Amino acid sequence: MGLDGEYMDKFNLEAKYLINPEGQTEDNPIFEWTGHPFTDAGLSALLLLSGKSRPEELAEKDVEIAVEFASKLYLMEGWSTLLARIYRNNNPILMVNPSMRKSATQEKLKESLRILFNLAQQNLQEPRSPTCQICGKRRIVSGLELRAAIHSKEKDRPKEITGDVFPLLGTGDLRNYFPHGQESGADVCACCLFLAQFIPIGSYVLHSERGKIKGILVIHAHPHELQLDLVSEIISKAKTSFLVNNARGFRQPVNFLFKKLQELSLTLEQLGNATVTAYYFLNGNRTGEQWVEVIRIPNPVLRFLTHAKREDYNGWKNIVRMGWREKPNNEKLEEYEKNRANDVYSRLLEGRSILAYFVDISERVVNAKWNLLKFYCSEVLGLEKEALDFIRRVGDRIVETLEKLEDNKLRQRVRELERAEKLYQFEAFFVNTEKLRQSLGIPEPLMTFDEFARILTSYGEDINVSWKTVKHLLLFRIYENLHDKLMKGGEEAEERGEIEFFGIEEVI
Amino acid sequence: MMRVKLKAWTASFRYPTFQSGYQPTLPVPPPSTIQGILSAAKGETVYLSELPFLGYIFKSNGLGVDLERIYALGKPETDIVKREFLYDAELFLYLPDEWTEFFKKPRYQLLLGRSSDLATVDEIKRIKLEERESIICGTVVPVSLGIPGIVHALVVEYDYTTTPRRARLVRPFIILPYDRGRYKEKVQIPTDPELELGVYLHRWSG
Ligand SMILES: [Zn+2]
Repeated sequence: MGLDGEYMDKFNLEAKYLINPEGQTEDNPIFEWTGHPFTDAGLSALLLLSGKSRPEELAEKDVEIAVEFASKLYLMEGWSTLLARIYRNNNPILMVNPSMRKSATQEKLKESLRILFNLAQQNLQEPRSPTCQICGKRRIVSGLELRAAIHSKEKDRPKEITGDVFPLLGTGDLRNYFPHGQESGADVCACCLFLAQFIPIGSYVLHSERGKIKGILVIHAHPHELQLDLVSEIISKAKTSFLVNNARGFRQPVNFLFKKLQELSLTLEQLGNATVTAYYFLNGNRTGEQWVEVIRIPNPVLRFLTHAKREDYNGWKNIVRMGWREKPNNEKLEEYEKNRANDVYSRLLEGRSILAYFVDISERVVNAKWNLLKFYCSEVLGLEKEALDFIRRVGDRIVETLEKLEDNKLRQRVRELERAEKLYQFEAFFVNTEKLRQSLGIPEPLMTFDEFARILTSYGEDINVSWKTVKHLLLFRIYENLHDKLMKGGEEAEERGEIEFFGIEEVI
Repeated sequence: MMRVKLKAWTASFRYPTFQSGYQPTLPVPPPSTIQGILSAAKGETVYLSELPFLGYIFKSNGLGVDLERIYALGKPETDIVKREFLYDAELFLYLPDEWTEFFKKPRYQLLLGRSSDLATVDEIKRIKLEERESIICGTVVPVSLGIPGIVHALVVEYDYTTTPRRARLVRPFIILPYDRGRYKEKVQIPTDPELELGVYLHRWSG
């Protein structure tokens, strides 16, 4: 096989694979998931607009309908501002610039998009040209080719492929980040560029209190069914009311993501290998208006959320409430959910422990069931099942000891554990409890020396799993069993007040 | 097989198409960065698709954001960008034996990202991977492996015969940050017994 043959073979670049009116060939469809969040967002929009779930199923008429829809939508109120935040002011394909807007018509937008799509198809036929750095399949499109395809005035047309036509690609003015300061901008093919023009229909838009666009949220998920599931809400809104999807009025992208994830009706197995990453960005015209924040939802967190929703939804909601500095009551909950950053969410995203939020020390009450705690410890913190069972048994023996005490003494002992901030204080609690067992005549010891050593030293190298983890698990067990006794009588109210446990820096 | 350990104070790996005022770093290097390192060590362009195998594991101890002043190319103006960087970085490369000589005496400076992310060779040793069930993280793997991570299209190698360089091979990958506490799924995979981690050996040849 000669070089050409090899190349053709490698990329399946044969004319017969071009899109046809009935649909694409399954072997080499023109549209594919690339793994790039932005082109995949555009592809999601195309799929959802045509009610299809696989890119191979897209036929030319689906593209036609999507082009028709987008060109109408983008001229409507509200959308032009959005376009300027996604593509900057100078996207000549979608005629974003106010000077272009004046003469923009649906026909003109439609024609630009169509020509771009034609370019995307032709691109398959020229295997020798440089390859797109996004899909790795097609030859790149040049600014000059684009110029011929669009309706704006000569001076407004692009010379290069930049952030004007593909989000966050930078400006043509600062070429430092293109290899060798390339005049022609980034290496992107017409197909990826075409998909990128549908990003607005595949994104959530977060607004500030004053109604200004704060950021664009693109959710990128795998498997693809999950991707479509997470963005389908956007499309239905655009289709039914021609409105930008404002993420239900949320101003906090992370809170919105958690809300969406909780609504998923997937099973743990389905989520086993799922991935969700979100890109929150702005690509505006001024310095400081171009930024991106990558929000990665770790897979164990996804599974924990699903489990929590199924098994102990109230427990999970209590835990989330603890993540705001002031715990919101029911009326305030929605307002907090939409507007205020939550520590439980950020800890979960950053891989820090939320164990302390399973109990409310000020009320001496548990927020969730032991089983949710158990799932969290083993699936997210990575605590061994045996270790967890062992700590639970120790907790039960502590409960068995303390419940024999009169209420005042009981509270005093528990306070000792609550206040243990240093390892020696933690040790002292065990020694005292052991003495107590002896004086109460309980035959079995609290634990053996080996067990004592095990509880004090960490479980594994992970910082999340230390004696402080054990302390919170024990407190959970104690509150779970002795809450009523602990809360009896008000004489301690002021004493409790002096301990500021809420929003503590070092939770574990 | 041999293992080269590189160390650097800082490292940064740009997302391929994020070129704006704020530049997040990928948590591990894309294959094209490894191509750059191997090419610098050998002193000529190396194509990963011509290697019989290649594995790598990348660790770092934290993330920071740097403020950089940029002199715009061909213009008198400057600009300010924020760039994320990884701190206290280590890169383990798993390579065929003949690579020992190139890393003993690298031809050009080795970089984990930009010219400010200078790396040194900390150790070169022969290593025998053991086939067993292990956690895999701190690397990129093909999407087909089905391990949850961050899915992203990445350049495997650039063609350096043209100016400017062009992408020669691009693939979607699952990016797995180094974070052993987070990963529970174990896969049957060649394992570095010292790191207790699976090493995904990429084969892009043929
Ligand atoms: Zn492409």
